[in-house]
Amino acid sequence: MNSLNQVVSLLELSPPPFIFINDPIAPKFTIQSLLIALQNKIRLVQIDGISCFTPRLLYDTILNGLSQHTPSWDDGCKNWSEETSNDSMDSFLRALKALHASLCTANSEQRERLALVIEKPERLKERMPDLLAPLTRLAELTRIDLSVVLVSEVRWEDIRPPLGAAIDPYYVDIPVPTKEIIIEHLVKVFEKNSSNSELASTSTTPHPYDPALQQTYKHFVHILTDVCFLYTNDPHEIQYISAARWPGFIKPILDAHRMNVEAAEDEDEVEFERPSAEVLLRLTRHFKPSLSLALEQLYPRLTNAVDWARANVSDAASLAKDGLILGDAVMDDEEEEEDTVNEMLLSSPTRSRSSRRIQEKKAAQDLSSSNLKDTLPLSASLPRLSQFILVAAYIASVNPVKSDLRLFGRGADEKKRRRRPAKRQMANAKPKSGSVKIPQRFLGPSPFPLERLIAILGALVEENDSNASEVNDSRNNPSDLLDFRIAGERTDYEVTRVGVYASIAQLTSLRLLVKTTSADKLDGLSAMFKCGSGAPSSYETILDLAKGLGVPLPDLIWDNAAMG
Amino acid sequence: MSSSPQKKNVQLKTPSLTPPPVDPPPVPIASPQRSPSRRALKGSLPQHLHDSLTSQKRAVLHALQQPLIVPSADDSEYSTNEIAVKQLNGLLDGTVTRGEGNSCLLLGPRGSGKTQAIELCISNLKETPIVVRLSGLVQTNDRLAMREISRQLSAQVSPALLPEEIRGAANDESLKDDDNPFLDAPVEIVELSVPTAHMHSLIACIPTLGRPTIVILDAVDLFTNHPRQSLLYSLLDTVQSCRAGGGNKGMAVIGVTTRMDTLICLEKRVKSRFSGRMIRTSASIKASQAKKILRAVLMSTEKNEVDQEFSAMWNENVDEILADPRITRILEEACSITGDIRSLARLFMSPVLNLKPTSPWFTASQLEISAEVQRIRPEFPYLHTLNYPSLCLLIAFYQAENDGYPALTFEMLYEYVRNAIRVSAVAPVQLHGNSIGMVRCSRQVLWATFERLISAQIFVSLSGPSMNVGKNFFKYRCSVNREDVKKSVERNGHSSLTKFLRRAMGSH
Repeated sequence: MNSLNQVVSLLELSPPPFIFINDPIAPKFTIQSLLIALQNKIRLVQIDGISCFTPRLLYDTILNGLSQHTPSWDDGCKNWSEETSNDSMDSFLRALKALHASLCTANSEQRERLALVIEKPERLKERMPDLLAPLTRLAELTRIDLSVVLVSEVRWEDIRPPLGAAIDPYYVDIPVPTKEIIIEHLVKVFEKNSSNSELASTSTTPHPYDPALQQTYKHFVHILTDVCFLYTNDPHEIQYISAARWPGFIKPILDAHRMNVEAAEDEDEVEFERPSAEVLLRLTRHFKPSLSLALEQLYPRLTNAVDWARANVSDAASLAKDGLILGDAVMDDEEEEEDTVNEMLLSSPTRSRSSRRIQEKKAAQDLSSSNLKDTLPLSASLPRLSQFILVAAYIASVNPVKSDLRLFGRGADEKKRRRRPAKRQMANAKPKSGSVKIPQRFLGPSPFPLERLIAILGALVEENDSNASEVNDSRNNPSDLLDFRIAGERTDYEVTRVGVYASIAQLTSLRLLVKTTSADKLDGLSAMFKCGSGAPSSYETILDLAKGLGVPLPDLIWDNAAMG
Repeated sequence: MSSSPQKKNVQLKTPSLTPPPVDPPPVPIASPQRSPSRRALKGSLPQHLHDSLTSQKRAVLHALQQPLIVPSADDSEYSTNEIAVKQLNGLLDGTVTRGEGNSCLLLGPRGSGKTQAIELCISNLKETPIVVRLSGLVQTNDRLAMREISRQLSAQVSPALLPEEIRGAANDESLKDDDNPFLDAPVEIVELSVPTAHMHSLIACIPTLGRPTIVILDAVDLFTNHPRQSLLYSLLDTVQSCRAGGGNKGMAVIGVTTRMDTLICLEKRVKSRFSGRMIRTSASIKASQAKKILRAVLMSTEKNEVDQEFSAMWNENVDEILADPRITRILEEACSITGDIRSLARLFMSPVLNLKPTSPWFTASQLEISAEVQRIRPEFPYLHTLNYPSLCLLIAFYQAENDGYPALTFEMLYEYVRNAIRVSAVAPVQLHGNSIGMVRCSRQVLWATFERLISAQIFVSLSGPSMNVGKNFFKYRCSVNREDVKKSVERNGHSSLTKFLRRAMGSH
């Protein structure tokens, strides 16, 4: 990384007072490399713009970090300086000068150079806008050998204080990490892990980060970066995915080795050997589909690495199919074999390997395409009436008010819905002048009054709720003293029951519906609602619900040109 | 820019033909002999000179941070800055030697040498004055400024001389305590309704300190924002009532600022106490002058650390590079826009850093690159190296803008990207057995990418966060220029993205 090396040598030789590093992809990675490269060379303190959210915290963190003072509980968590140095900028400057002087006297042979590395400086701008300008001029204000390094994803132009109060930085642009850098980083992490004594000592058998496996790991990392590089170039993200997949990837080999060891207990120690090229190829073929699945689930953090690894352990059957139950010991081991056979029986034997992989892929696609998954689908966790309410709320949120009569209005002549074709919409899409209105479905749900929700709910229940109509037809219950003569009257009666309001209240407390008027307004029907964010306002989820209820949702959406 | 071709010629030739007398003898003598040796060493540096290179780099980098003002020798009249220094010198001299009370404003754009001029004048004074340095950026209210004044005074004056009040203010522990600012008397007085009286009496005793005092107010425009400008009033009033003789020493107040309208910002009663003297520094610098400064900077050395042999070669290289027409063009361009010598010096930092034992000499192309990074910064230099989903989103935004939407929600962007991928999948194109259609990209991955672009402020939200609106329904605008999107996609060269872009451009 050339530009990073530049910064390192600059800080070593003679740094300018203010350096700005713009790294749009992986600022954390850059800072880590910077800190490692400058260890023991100059006095450096790393400051996080998120955790230092008040001036006091910022001042104390800087001073404690530069003096390498750790506040301890026993001495009352005292800060480095005796007097208060965190009440204002100039007290801080004084303390900084004193600190520098004390460091210089401590080791007189060389001048002590200080550097502050500030991560996420855009947060400082939001929280303490007055502080950024003096921070950039820190060297000038204190007159000591000090350099301030800001590392940010944001450009300096977006952070810069107004009126030219801050001095111009020395700009450094970190290029987007290349594949080579990512692989190098991952291998380095592997080496660190393999030298980790804790991992090594816990078991006698080789662990996934055994030094002997480094070549295999390199191979794995190459494949992984090939898959992920198109989508992300953050080394840390790929490291995360690798940490989730690698132990599973190498497990067949480790298992085979363990069996070999068990088989040959009394003989000499079995040498752990690197997997052959052929085995590697088989492993790769088996695990490759799961890599893209890992990317799709772990990069957006839909789940965490541990859970994902647990959920994606390859079962013995599929491993066996790919010829990955390795080692001669397998057949001798009865339990293992039984398990394998059972698994084999469970999974359909006719299914070929390739079709299985396609299925896996399909499953991956389904997982990712289903919108904002919840742990439980709404259709399973909500009562039927609540599902109707959600569908009605969605319709009310998406459709314009004027469309209601056309979609749901029923005259005496039983004429079916008179839905106008959406031709006009297309004509409107072209801008006449200025900006065009964004279609409502892209702006999210719009609020609607409770009254409208009830009305639409009534129409839905009347037309689509087969259960209710059955009850209607087969009703010969004398205890029900009400007489419903007019069509729909019963539904009307049903949907204005207290239970419906209770359901709405419950949905609101689940935030599947959101009340947009203030909570203290008790005006029953004029209260405004809208669909909650996330699942209840996504078309796919509601479509699923509607299918379950038998509601033809696409027909009931006014502007459904682009839906589905 | 206005210089005639003839003059340009002269500029080009001066350094190489007749090395200016500024630098020590080795260059003129050594260059004829050393020249072949450097040619021979074009590739890399011999082992024994590595240390020399490092220390030369250190010396140059150090010098680049404090470029000195080299007096323009050829002009008969003085430059603006020299006049400023002269005026300021006279002013401070009057304060120090004759005990005058002086006030002035030092105006000039950033990096035009205001601070440098003051420091120069102070170091030239016969008697060491008490110097109080305040900055409007740090002392954001009068209370802090007052405390800082008393701290600096007590650091520079022996405590016996200090009047009781000032000593008290400096040592008052309670003053430093921000937690309960209402417990201590002085703070209350400063902060509450009658600040001027007390502060005034404190500042009024500054001339009695036995040594002349110079108060430097950096960013003085910010001091005018303080309530009732009481600090400025007290300082200027003290200065105005300064009488020569009578045992009192002089006092000077120098306001340093970039804002030309600072005088207007002063309240009437403050303005009437201000002498109205304004000294200007200018940031206009000629390319030839800049070149001279840079030459001096680049040839600066640390004593006894650089090998003679090396420094001869080095100086020759510097001369050569400064004579390069490309460098001249860069410098002329830079000088026509800014006169900030610091920003010129920054151009040379990265070439200096890039010097290695294997490539120890400057090249003009390095400087060109550095000029692009440091001075003419492109808006988003990394845009073309962004990953596939990011570029997809950018093109989608481009397309949406074509359709007349200035701000979009994520949902709509996603719709565009999804459509593009779908269209590309309908007609699969194969090249050498590989599909070159658009790669599928799941909604979640796109969303994660979108969030990253938000944190890089490529997409900027138009409204604040809200409980009731889903994150995917916030409206965003794109801070990347449309042209830049186009260029970077073309530069990226991903065939399917180029196609997407072409479709996006054609959609209108």
